[in-house]
Amino acid sequence: MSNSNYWTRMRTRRLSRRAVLRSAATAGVGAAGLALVGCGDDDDDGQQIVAQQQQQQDQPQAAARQEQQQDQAADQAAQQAEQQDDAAQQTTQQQDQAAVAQAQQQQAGPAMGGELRISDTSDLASFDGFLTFGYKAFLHGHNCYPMLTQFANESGQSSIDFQPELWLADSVEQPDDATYLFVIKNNAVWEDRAPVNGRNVTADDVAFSFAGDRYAGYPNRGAILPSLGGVEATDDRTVRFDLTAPLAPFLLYLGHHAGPYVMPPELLEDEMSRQTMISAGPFLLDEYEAGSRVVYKRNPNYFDAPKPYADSLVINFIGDNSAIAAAYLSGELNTSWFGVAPPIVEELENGIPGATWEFEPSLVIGGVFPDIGMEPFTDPRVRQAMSSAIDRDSILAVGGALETGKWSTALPPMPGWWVDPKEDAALGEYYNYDPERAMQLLDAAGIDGVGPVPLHTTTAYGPIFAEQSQVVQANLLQVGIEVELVTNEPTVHYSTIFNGSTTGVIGHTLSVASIEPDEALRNVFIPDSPRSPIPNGELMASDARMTELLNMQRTESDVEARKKQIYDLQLHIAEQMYSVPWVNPPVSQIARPELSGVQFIQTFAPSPSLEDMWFNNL
Amino acid sequence: MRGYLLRRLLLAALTLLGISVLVAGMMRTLPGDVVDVLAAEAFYDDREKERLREELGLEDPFFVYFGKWLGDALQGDFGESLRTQRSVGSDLGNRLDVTMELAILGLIIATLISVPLGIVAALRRSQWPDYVARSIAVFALAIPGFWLATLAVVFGAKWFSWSPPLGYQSIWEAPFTNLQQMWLPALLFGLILAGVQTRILRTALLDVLRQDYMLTARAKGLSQILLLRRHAMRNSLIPFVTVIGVQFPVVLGGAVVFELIFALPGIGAYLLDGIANRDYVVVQAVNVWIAGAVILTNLLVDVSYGFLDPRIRIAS
Repeated sequence: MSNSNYWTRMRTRRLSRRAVLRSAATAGVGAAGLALVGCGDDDDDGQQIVAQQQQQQDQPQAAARQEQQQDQAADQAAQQAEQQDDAAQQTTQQQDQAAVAQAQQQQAGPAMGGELRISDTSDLASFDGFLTFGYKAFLHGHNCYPMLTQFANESGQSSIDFQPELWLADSVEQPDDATYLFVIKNNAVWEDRAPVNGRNVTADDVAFSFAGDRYAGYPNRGAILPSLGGVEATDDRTVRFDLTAPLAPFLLYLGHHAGPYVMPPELLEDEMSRQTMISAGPFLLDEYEAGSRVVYKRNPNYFDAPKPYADSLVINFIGDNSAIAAAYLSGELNTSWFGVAPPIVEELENGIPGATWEFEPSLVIGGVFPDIGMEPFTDPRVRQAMSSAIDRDSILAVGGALETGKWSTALPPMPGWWVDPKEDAALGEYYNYDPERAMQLLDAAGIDGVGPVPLHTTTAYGPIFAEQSQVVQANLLQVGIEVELVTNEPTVHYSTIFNGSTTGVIGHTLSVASIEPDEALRNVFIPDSPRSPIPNGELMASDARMTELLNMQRTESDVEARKKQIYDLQLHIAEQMYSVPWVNPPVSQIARPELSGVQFIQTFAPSPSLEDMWFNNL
Repeated sequence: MRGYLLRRLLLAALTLLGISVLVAGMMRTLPGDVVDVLAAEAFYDDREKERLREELGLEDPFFVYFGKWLGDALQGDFGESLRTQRSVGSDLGNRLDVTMELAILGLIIATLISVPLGIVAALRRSQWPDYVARSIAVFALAIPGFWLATLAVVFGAKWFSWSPPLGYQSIWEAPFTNLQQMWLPALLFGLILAGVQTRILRTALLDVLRQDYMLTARAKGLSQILLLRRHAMRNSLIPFVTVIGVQFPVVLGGAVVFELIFALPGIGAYLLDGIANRDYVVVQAVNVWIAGAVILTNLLVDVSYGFLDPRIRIAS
């Protein structure tokens, strides 16, 4: 019997020409593959990987050449440093030139023309937000349907500082705290096509948008409807709102990005509004290609002429982040409207010198929402323990937003209303990472370990969110609260955890974006709110103090008094901890350097900011 | 032949029916429905959700619902999307243009790459052209399509400040813009498909080239080109055409990756949206169409054998 095995035969076998060629070809393909794999941010990565492999193969000779290579490496490093310096200088020069050009353009005033291009992730269900409520309907609706007010868009204003200004309304009078008289602009006309044929926008159109079943069934009715006594057109241009009680954010709510928009009643016949829009706003709907894009052209009869400055607006549907990044880099997209996805921010910062950026915390309410009717989470101390166990800075770090993100209280970081728990000792007690306090609270509640309890998370908000759920899981486990992660796909998530309809679990979700403390607080903490992610939220009805404060702040017209009430609410909700709020990472907005007049609004309906932008390279 | 075709068509109809029942049934077993999706956007309460379910016919028993859908589909009416209320037939038609264009261009490019490579590899077996051709084929087989497409899009923008124009334009309306949009995804798609085709063609050609009749033809003094054209290629085409036929459904399914990365509104993206939104009508229509296309392609491939090889025609 032979002693040779496969490996000894392999060692002694003479290499054939074919074998050498085959190996060379395979190695070539492999090297090419590695070079491609290595093509990351640094152009030299692929070459470095191949070079490293070669060095490993030639180890004996490499030792002899080591000194020489070190010298060469030092020379190369010096050259690279010089090149980097040059590149940095060039970048700075380009940025300076772009800034100078932009400043010159701004001094010269807005230029008309050009095609403004933005993107959304997917197609819309319909053009009528009354029928298919959702941000996509607002994104498009706001281009064509006006409202009495809109969000102001002043230079230097933060994108999350929402202030109302008149839009379709020419003037407003307030005879008393609960009555408003709006006179609409006399040059506001619908576009010239059937069935409206260019007629004026009337006070009846406005009243119609707030009247009847249509508005009563509108999901954003909660903002105004509970305070609305009646709406009537007193003449062609005057519309009167009678409120049942003063409503502090009334003017802001009239311009809310979720509407309701003023639409011509004629358009509602046969639900035409589902498939098309008739505009009195800045843009006219020109073309809709299902699954691909919506094209608008400038409305020459817009009542705020000469705006918009761009000739056309194109909203492309792009779902893939790489494609979005490429489109920004190549200039196929000009600006963002509701943020750039975190994974591509750095690439765009490096790739587009001279671009305008803004980073402000998102105003989406998010957090961990235990079933407040399920033992032991019926006890506020257990819910407080969850809050103290969660390391919010670690969560921000997972998303790479430790420096720029903020912590939520019952409110997202709304300028003027939100109080930073890092700076306020009373609030900080509830939100600081303090596992010892958490365990003391659990001891006081007589709890010796909790769970396992299902904690439902989702893929709906991307992979970072799912990773952050794992941080929450680990944090809770540290203090003896054991949770089992259940990951839901978006459809299941939106129909269960997102609206708090699943009991017996802890939900981990984002909720809706709000523009006003009243909206944020009422969405989540009104016991029968259909938007609240709190399971068994109706149990909050027994909290008379919270109900009283929620109602008081809504009617308080004195800003300072209202701020105090809202602070008290933040503190009270922290004590009760109906939801365990977490963090607000930044929303990153970009406008390419060819745009001037850039002022972002963190809103679902960016029309006010889009109509103000113009191209400086026409 | 006619009897054979009738039998195949009957089988095709039964297969389509089976697929429709299967897809519709499976969609019903998924958690959540389109009303949940709409309700999440609109914050409907339970009463409103119930009303909407009745309005959309989702409360009907499965076979009643499916029967209605089938009756309409047999008359060419695929119904309206539950979510958008738009005609599915019309949306499908528009999107089909995109996917078919991508698929056909991809297959053409794949054939243009694979035929010369396969021939060279077979004729220069175990020489450097063979190694190069096989390396390219292995490279194409080994590289995931989404990765290659992502690299091409990102580095195209980074290095050349270029990315395909956004907003799909039909080849009939704006051919130049259309080609600007389609050449890169079609090229990459073609490259991916060419891997299998090259290897199959090479193997088939090598088999044929070893045959005795090829030796005879060569001994008769036939030139290499004539030998290849008249005898070798024709006899190698059956496995090659079979592969193209088998690739067609893969192309339709695989196109979704390219559609997403290149923002092309094809049926792959439509199907994904339909599944995510639990839009049963859309999912059923797209699946039936894809199944129909696959069955038809296979039928065409089988029929083409008879034309490629008269022996099969005579035997049948």
